[in-house]
Amino acid sequence: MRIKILIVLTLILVSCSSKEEKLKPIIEPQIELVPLTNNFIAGDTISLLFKTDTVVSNLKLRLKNAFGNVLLNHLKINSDIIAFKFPMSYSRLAGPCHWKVIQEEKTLLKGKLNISTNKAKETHIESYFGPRSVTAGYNDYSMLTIAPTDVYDNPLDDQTPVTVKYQFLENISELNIETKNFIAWYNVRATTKSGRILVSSECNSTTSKELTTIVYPSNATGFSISASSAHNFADGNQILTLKSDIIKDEFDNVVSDGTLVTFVIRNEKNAHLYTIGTTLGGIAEARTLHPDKASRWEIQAFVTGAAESNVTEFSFTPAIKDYPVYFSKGNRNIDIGPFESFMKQLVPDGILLQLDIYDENGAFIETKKTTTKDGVCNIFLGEYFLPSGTYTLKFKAAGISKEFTKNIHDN
Amino acid sequence: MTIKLNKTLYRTILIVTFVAINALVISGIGAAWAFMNTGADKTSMLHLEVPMEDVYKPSLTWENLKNQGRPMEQQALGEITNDYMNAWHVRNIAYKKNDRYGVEDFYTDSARARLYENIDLNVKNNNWYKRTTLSHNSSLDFYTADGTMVVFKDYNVEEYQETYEGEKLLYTEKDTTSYQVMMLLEDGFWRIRHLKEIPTPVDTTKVVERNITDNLDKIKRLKGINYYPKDSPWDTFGKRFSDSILNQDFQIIHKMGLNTIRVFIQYEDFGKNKVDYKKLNHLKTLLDVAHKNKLDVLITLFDFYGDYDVSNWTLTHRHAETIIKAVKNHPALLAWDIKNEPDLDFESRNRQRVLSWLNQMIENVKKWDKTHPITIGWSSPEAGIELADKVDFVSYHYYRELDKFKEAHDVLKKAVPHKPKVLQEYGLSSYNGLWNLYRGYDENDQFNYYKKMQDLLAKEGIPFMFWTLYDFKKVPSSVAGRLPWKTKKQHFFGCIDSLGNIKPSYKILSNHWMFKLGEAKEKDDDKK
Repeated sequence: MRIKILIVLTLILVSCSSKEEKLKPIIEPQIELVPLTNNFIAGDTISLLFKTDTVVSNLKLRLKNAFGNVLLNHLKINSDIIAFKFPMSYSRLAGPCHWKVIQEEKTLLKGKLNISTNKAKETHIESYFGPRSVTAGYNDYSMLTIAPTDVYDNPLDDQTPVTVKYQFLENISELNIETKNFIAWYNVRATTKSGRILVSSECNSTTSKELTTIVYPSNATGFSISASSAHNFADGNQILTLKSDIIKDEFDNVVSDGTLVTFVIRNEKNAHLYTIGTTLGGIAEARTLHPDKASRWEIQAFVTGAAESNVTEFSFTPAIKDYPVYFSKGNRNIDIGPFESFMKQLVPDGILLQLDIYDENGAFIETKKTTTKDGVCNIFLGEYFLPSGTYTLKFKAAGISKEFTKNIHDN
Repeated sequence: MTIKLNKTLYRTILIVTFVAINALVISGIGAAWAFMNTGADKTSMLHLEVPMEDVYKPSLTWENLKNQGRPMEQQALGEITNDYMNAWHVRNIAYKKNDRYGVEDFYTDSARARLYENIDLNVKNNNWYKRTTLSHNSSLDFYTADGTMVVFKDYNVEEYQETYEGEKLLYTEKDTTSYQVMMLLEDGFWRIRHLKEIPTPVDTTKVVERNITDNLDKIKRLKGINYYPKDSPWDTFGKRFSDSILNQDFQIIHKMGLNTIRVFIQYEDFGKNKVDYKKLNHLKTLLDVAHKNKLDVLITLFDFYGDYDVSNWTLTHRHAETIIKAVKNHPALLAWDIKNEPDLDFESRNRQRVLSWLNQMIENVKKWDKTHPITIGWSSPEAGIELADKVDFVSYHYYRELDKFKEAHDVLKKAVPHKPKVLQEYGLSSYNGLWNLYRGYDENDQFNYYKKMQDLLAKEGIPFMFWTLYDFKKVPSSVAGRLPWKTKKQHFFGCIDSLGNIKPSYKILSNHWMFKLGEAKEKDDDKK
C-alpha cells in the first residue's frame, strides 16, 4: 500500500517537474562561397554554391530585395557542396539582391548580387498622357510620360532611348528622348489651331498604344451682335431675337459649342434686363419678349470674363394708341378697354394697368393694379374700401396716363 | 495496526480530495467568470477605422520637392505621403500574417503580384516576419503635369525586422536601405508601381556632435531622490497635479541637500503616440519648479510600458520624440532614463526583443537630443551590464540585502569600468505589521539601513537616488497588485510619513551625510 502511494506521489512529482531542455551542440561549419560572377541579368537562373566541411541541416540562405525577404533551404549537391536555388521572384527582380547564409541566429557569410534589367528580351511600355484636353495657344501642354519596363516588369535603366511621335493635322513630328528616374517624358505643347493631337512612343522597337489630347479653342474675343424682330411695335407679344456673329478666339478658332453668352439690355430708364444663349457653331442666339410700351433698348452681349460685343440699339414704337375708361354704379365700377393694338387687334392678355387714387385735397390713398384679359380690365371700388366723396383717379397703362376727378357715391 | 493506519490514510485522502475538489470547483467558476468578462471590446463589432497614426507612424521628411514636372501641392503631398506609409504598413502586416489583405489598395496589379509571390514562398517555408520602418527621408524626382504619377527617392529607410519560423524567432536585423519609388494615382489611391533599391548616398550632412560632458559631470555628483507627490503616487501629472505642492516638496528636497529628482512618465497615461499636451505642460511646470528650487530632473521616459512589439515601435518613438523635443532645452533637465526596470520583462517578452527596443530608442534619443546623457533604470546591478556600451551612465536599483551591495556593485564596476554608475533606486520599507506577521522592519531599522548605506555610498563615491520622500496612503493596484501582503510594503518607503512627520531616516538622508559624500566624491575625482 505504502509503496503504491509512494509510486503515485513520485509520478505526480515527476509530472509536475519542468522539462529540462537539452542543448544540442552546435556544429559550426566552415563554409565558403564557390566563386561566381556577382552580376546577373533578370530572368537568369541563379544558384549560389557553397563549399562546406560539414553539411548541417539548419543552414539557410536569406534573400532580401526591395519587395521582401525569403529564407531558403539548401540542396545538397555532393558531400561538400551545397546549393541554394533562387526562386523566380528573386531572380527576376532587377536591383541588388542581398544574401546571407544563416545558421540559427548566426550569420556565416553574406554578400550581394547585382541583377540588371533584361534588355535583350522584349520591352513593355506603359505610357500616360495628360491632361486629356488643353486650350489652344502658347501656354498649355499635355505631358506624355513613358515608363518602359523589361519583360519581367523591371523599369529600364536611366538613359534608355525612347522615341516620341506626335501628330496634328498634316504634321507628324518625331523626336528622341531618354529615360531618367524610371520614365521618359515630353511636354506636347498645345497648337494654335483647335483639334486633336495624337501621340505614340517607341522603345527598343516596342510601340505603345495611341494616346490623344483635344485642343480646345481658347477664350472668345470681341464679337458683334444684332437684334431683329417681325416688327418694332411695343405690343408685349412679339419676340425679339438677339444673335451674335461667329465668335472666335484669338487664333481664329470658332469657340467651343455651348459657350455661354449673356445679353444685357438697358432701357431708357436705366433698368436692366438680361437673357442668355449658348453658342452653336460659334453663334449665340437669345430671345426676349417685346415691351408693352414704347421703349429704346441698348443691348450688349458678354462672354463672362472673356469677351464683349458692340452695343446695338432697338427702338419700340407704341402699339396701343389710346384706351377708353367707363364709370358706372355711382362711379364705383370702372371698365377699362378695350385695348387695341396697332392693327386694332386685341392686345394679348396681361397688359398691366395701374390706378392711383387721391382724395380731393390731393393726398394719396391707394394704388390698385390689374391686368387685361381679352383686351379689357375692370376695377370695382367697394363702399367699405372707399367712402363716398370726390376723388382724383390716375390711370396708367401701355405708357398712356389718364386722369379723372369723380364723385364716388352709392347711387 | 495496519487497519488503524489504513483508517487514517483513508480519512486523509478523503479530506484532501474534498478540499481539492472544492478548490477545483471554485477555480473553475472563477475562470468561467474571468472568461465572461474578458474578450474583445464591444465597439470592435462596428469595425471602426483605426487612424493610421495609432498603428504606424515612422518619421518621414521631404527633403526636396523641386522637380521638372508639376509643382507639388501641399494637399497632394499629404495624400502621397499617407498612401506611401499605408503601402509600407499593409506590406508589413501582409508579411506578418502572410495574408494578402489590403495589399491591393496600395500596390498596382503588377507590383502586388511580387508581394503575393513572396507571401506564397513564406507560407510554404513557414516563415513570417515582424517588420517596421523607423524613418524615411524622401526627395521628389518627378510629378506629372496631370498629377497622377509621382517618382521619388526614399533615402536611408531604417528597417527593423524579426524573422520567425513557426513560433520560433530566428533572428533580428536592422538595416538601412534607399529606394526609388513610382506611384500612380488610381481610383483615388496612390499605389506603388515600381520599387527599386538604389545605392544609399554618402551622408554629407554635418551631424551635430553630442556634447554631454556638463550633464555627465553632474551625474557624478548626483544626490537624489525618486519623487512622487504624497497624495498622488504613481500619478505625478494627473488630476491632482499642483505646482504649489511640488514647490513645497522640492523645497524640502533642496533643504535636505539633495540636488536631483527622478520622475516617471507613464506611457499610456501620457497619451501614447499622441502625447497629451496638458500633461506635457505639467511636465514643463514641474521642470520650472525644480529649476526654481535648484534641483535637476532625471526623466524616466517609459514607465508602465511592457509591449516592445515591433508593430508598436514607431508609436513609442513618436511618444518619446514629442516629449524630448518639448523639454530638451530646459535648464533643469539632467538626463533621460529610457525605461524603468526593463529587465523584469526579459522573461515574458523575450530578452532580445526588449534589448532591441531599448537599443533603438537610445539611438533615437541620441539623435533628438544632443546634450543630455542617457541611461536605463535596470532593476538589479547584474542587469547593468546590458547595453552598457550604449548608455552614457549605468543605473540600477538595489532592494536586496545591504551586506551584499558592495559585492554586487564591485562586480558591475569591474564589468563596466569606464562609465558612471548610479544607484538609481534603493530603500527599505518601515512596514512591520500584520501582513508580514511583524517580521518586517520598523522605522529604526530603516534608520540603521540608511545610516550604513549612506556611509557606504559616501565612502565609495556612488551617486544615489533613494526611494522615496513620503509614505503613501494609497498605492495603485498596477504597482504591486491588490494583495495586501504584497502591496502594504510599498506604503512605507518614505523618510516622511503620510501625515508629514519626519521619520528617523530623514536626518540620515539630510545634509550632514551629504557633505561627507560630496567631499569623498571630489577626492575621488582628483585621484582620477
